[in-house]
Amino acid sequence: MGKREDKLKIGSKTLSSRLFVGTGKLANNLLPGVITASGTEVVTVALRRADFHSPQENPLTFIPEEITIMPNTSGARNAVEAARIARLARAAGCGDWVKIEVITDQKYLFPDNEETVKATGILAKEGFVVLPYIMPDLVVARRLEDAGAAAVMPLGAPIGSNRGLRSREFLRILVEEIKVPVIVDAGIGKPSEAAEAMEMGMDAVLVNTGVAVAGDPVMMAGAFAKAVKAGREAFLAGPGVAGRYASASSPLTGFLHEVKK
Amino acid sequence: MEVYVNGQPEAINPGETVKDFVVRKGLFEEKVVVEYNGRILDGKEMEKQFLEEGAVVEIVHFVGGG
Repeated sequence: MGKREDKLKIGSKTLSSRLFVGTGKLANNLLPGVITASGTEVVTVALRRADFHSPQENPLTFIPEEITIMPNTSGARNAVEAARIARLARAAGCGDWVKIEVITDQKYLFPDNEETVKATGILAKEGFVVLPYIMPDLVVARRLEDAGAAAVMPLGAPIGSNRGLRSREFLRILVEEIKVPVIVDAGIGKPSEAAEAMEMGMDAVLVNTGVAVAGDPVMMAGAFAKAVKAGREAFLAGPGVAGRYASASSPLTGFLHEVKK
Repeated sequence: MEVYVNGQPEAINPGETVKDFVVRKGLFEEKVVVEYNGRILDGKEMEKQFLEEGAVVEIVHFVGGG
């Protein structure tokens, strides 16, 4: 496969960049720099009640028009609330992508897979391009495929924890078994972890905190872009198999100490 | 007259529409979405819908999020 043909298809979109960027914890004025440096084509936003007392600037005004906006359903505690948030987000006129996020656990912010499957079924039927955030569970991922998910987004580690690919064994299984794109969402704190995910064959990664809390978010966004590209190329190149013992890189013949007897 | 906007009681002016209220609160320039008694309103509906006693209104907008 030539590099030029290596595109990621989700819904009706064909993406060149396999790095999705979350806009949480980022000052609006950093968004253009972060988006440019990351090369991303998909960014997430959240929907909240407007605050009359301290009106905030709309992050969308800082995001170039060609970027796909993927609102999340954060704040939803069940499928019905997630569907309500998704419909409100779509009414804002930013397209029909939605990241399902249903959370009831406040310590680890783990997604509620059961409610997420329900929400995916409801919203896929209404024409949304649904990307559910999930615990990496093969059975659930298959149900999500059946329910019409456009991709699945399993976590690497808890949201915002910067702990990397703690769930790698289960992510590997999803990549092997699931036909829709697998996008690692949550937990990736460093470019090396993003590269590892891509080397494993993940279709994309979504990074927010790893960029947003960096000393220089714009520089970090660029570092993630390179790591995702490098990891993807390594995957396409076909990494060698890890072995327990040495395998000489140099020829094992013609040594200077050899004497014929 | 009172309505509930984003979970708070709000006094409204007689004959005030949803759009009037949004503008009065300084939110018109922002991209807000309004849900009126559980129903999402488009721009035209916001202009037509008068605020009725006890109505439950949600006015939401996008913020940064992951």
